[in-house]
Amino acid sequence: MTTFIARRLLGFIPLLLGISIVTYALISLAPGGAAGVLSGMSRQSTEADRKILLHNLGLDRPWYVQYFFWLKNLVVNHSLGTSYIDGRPVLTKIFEKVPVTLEVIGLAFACILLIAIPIAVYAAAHKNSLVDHLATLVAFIGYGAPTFWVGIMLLELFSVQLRWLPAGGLADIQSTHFDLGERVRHLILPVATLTLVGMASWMRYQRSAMIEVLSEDYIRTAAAKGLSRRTIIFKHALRNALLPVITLVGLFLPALLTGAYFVETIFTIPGMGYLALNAVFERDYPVIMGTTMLSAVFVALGNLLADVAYAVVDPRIRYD
Amino acid sequence: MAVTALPGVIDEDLGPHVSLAQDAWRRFSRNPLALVGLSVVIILVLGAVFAPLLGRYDPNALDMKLIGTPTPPSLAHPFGTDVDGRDYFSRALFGARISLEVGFVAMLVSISVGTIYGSLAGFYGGAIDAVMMRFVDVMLSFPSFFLILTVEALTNQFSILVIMLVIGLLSWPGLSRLVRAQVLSLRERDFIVAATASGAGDGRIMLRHLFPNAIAPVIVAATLAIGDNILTESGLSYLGLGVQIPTPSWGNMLQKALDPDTLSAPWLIAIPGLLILTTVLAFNFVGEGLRDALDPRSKK
Repeated sequence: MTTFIARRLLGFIPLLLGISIVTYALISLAPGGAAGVLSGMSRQSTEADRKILLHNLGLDRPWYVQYFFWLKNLVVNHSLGTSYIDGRPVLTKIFEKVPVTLEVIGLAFACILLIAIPIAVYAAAHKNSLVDHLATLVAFIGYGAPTFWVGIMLLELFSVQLRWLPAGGLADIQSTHFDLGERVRHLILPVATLTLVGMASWMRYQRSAMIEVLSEDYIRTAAAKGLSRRTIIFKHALRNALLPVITLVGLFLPALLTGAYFVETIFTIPGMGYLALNAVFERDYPVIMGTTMLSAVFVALGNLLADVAYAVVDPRIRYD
Repeated sequence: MAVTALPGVIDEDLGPHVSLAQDAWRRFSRNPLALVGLSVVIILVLGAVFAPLLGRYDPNALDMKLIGTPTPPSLAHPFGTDVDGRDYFSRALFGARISLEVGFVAMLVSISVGTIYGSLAGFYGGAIDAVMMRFVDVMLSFPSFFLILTVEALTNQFSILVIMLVIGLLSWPGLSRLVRAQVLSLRERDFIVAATASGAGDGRIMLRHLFPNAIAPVIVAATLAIGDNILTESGLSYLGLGVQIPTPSWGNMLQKALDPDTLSAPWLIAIPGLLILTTVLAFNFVGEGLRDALDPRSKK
């Protein structure tokens, strides 16, 4: 297992190189690129000033040369460069924001698992029951509704109309010190949005995996030898039905991350998504590179985690 | 005579001749969700096509008497009016045009690129396949929405054509993987070997033999992609990076959703979202209906 993880981590290097090249090429070759950086300059600046600025930023060179310097800086100085907007190191800016996003995503993921799996198991064991139909309905909404719309609807209902929960931020404006209850109240709506949307695909897959397992011969055998329904469902069926679903984690993380970007925008949470979106709007290339790379690393790690979890749950799977 | 009896036996076993399309339709029409989805899609397409006839108002016309405060749904304005005094029903109808157009054209782009890319990789195999698929791995490591958003923002071109192209050109990698897998499994089949043996060239084999056999999952993926693209467009437009106001799209109708004026008028937020939800679900139902109809072996 250790060798497998080590091998996979080594495999990250070419993957991340590929990702960085594609990202760099895309953002450099997008029409209107460098001109946008200059749009922030004052009107009085002369053509010569512009040239100097472009030269200082290295933007007058072809993109692959720029990429080479970007990569060299990363390898030699372990730096992703500095922001065009405030001159602070990109890594510092990112690491300030990562914990908040991880908090939101982590909480949402935990809620999704805690809610979706039991409901899906119940729905599979009681096909066509009220719970089953309700679960299908919720799954449909989560599947077809845009994340940002779900967030806005929740905000409209619970914050604007009912005034139960705060509409944004991580703390009350007048608060002076960290308060757990306050934090929780501020996180309920964002986490609920991600949970509602994320639950959908999870519930659908879990339900169909469970139904498939429940029709296996060994389940009939277990029932025939007189085991209780409870034991059959939890010990015999669920363990096997979790297996195909675990691989979903890898596919699931990108969606969750995208969802977090929207949620952070709507509920004004200062996380990665907030940083990334602002960087895009401000054409802050080094920060765009940094946040894009980080999300790709995140996705790659998610895939690795899924493979490892797969082997842990199913002893038949050996990677070495 | 055994030879003349043989065709009779076969006819008896198979019953009357049924074409693939007829057979698929028979299975499709037995699936209530798929039929509901198809009906919704038809209604939406008709609504979009006949938007100028159905909407009584110009979607961009401002009603000076109603500017400033949104009015709730009424007989004159079935979906109410927005903050600028525009008829929301007309905007929703014209928004359907944009959203369906973007969904459909972006799908055509991504399906074309994905199918060609996947077929080439699967057909040639070996080193070509390895290199092509590593590139797909790279593309799939991005949260695709964020990539689309970044390119769209940097390009700073928000014509509908550019939006369709950006969405289409950045969402094909998943599909190419699907097509490649199909082609890989078909490539070794006897009928392909027979075609090669009888001297058919690469192009002929791909177009005549591989393509028709690999098309079913592509049709399903295409249907599902329309819904995904509509979701992507709505997200872009919500952030102001998609279809630009005043042209209405379901996404940019939500752009001002967090303004205090709009928050006091919940129907302005609910309606575009419900339309997106209904449309995406309808395409999903049709897609899953097609999956069951086109591939009798697939289990739900």
